Amino acid sequence: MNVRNVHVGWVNYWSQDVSESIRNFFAMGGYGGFVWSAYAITFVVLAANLIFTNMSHKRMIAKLRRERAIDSASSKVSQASHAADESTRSAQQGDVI
Amino acid sequence: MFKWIHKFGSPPFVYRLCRGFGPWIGWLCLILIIGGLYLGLVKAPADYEQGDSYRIIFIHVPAAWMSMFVYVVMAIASLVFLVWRLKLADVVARASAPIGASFTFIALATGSIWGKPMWGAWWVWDARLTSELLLLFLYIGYIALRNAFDNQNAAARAAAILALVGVINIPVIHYSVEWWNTLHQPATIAKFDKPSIHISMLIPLLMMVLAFQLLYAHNLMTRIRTGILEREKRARWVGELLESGRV
Repeated sequence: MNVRNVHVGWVNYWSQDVSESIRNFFAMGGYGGFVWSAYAITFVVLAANLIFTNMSHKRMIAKLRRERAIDSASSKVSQASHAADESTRSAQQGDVI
Repeated sequence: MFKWIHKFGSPPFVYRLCRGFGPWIGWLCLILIIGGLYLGLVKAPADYEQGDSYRIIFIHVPAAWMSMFVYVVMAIASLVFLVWRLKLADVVARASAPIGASFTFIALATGSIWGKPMWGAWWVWDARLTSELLLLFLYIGYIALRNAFDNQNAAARAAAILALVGVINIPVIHYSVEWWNTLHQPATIAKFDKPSIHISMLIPLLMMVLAFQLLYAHNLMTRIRTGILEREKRARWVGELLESGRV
């Protein structure tokens, strides 16, 4: 008895069995097109939902960080211009008095 | 006791709660989906009447249940917002609408795909299908109404009233298969009798129901965080949060 042949035969038998069961699994008893398209639509919609949610959260964080940076920059500018206004006003008042 | 409840009205507390639990709920959901799909698509036997086409049930029923559950959450949150003026309730209602619309769309689409081989038609105008379609329009109307106003507070109040009026549709959807003659099959699980489903199909179905619930919770928690940041952007704690990097 050739040991090698027995081995190859077993592999062939196994791979045939597996490929057939995989084919059966995807065929879904003839309803494969219906079943898999239903699952595909579901997971595309749910995944899109999750991706959109995470993206809009990150976008909100970036937006608030930007606004804060602008606010702090403009508050420095407005403080400076405020001080300038004060000095001119007091100068004018000084003129009147 | 009241102190404990009061905490749930505090935006920083809710924000940290959502940030802490959100990821764990997401991972648990993924594990349940993998397990549920393995048991439902591989292990469960074919149906004696419908063959393998019945396997659409493992996404169709959870999505249909969630489409109603999310709407009820939205309506309760809207009521709380209108009565107690709790802003967080409005954040929850607003965050729920797109998720609920997605579940409703999935229920309709998978039902249509299941209907074709079983009934011979993609769509029929019967009570169950029509009331579920109305639910989709309610979600879309809610989202459109919110975007139609410039004033955020006016938008929130108008949308909350719409959500409350629309809740009448929920019992109509549930009892439609009993009240009218319909092509849709009657309830499989949610009835007073024993569920008319074998345990090998019931377990993956319940796993998928729980998975969809957790998916909603996970998605909602992230959306609540986005909503809180937007509403509280002037608050000192939000500034500290943005600077700390752990947003």
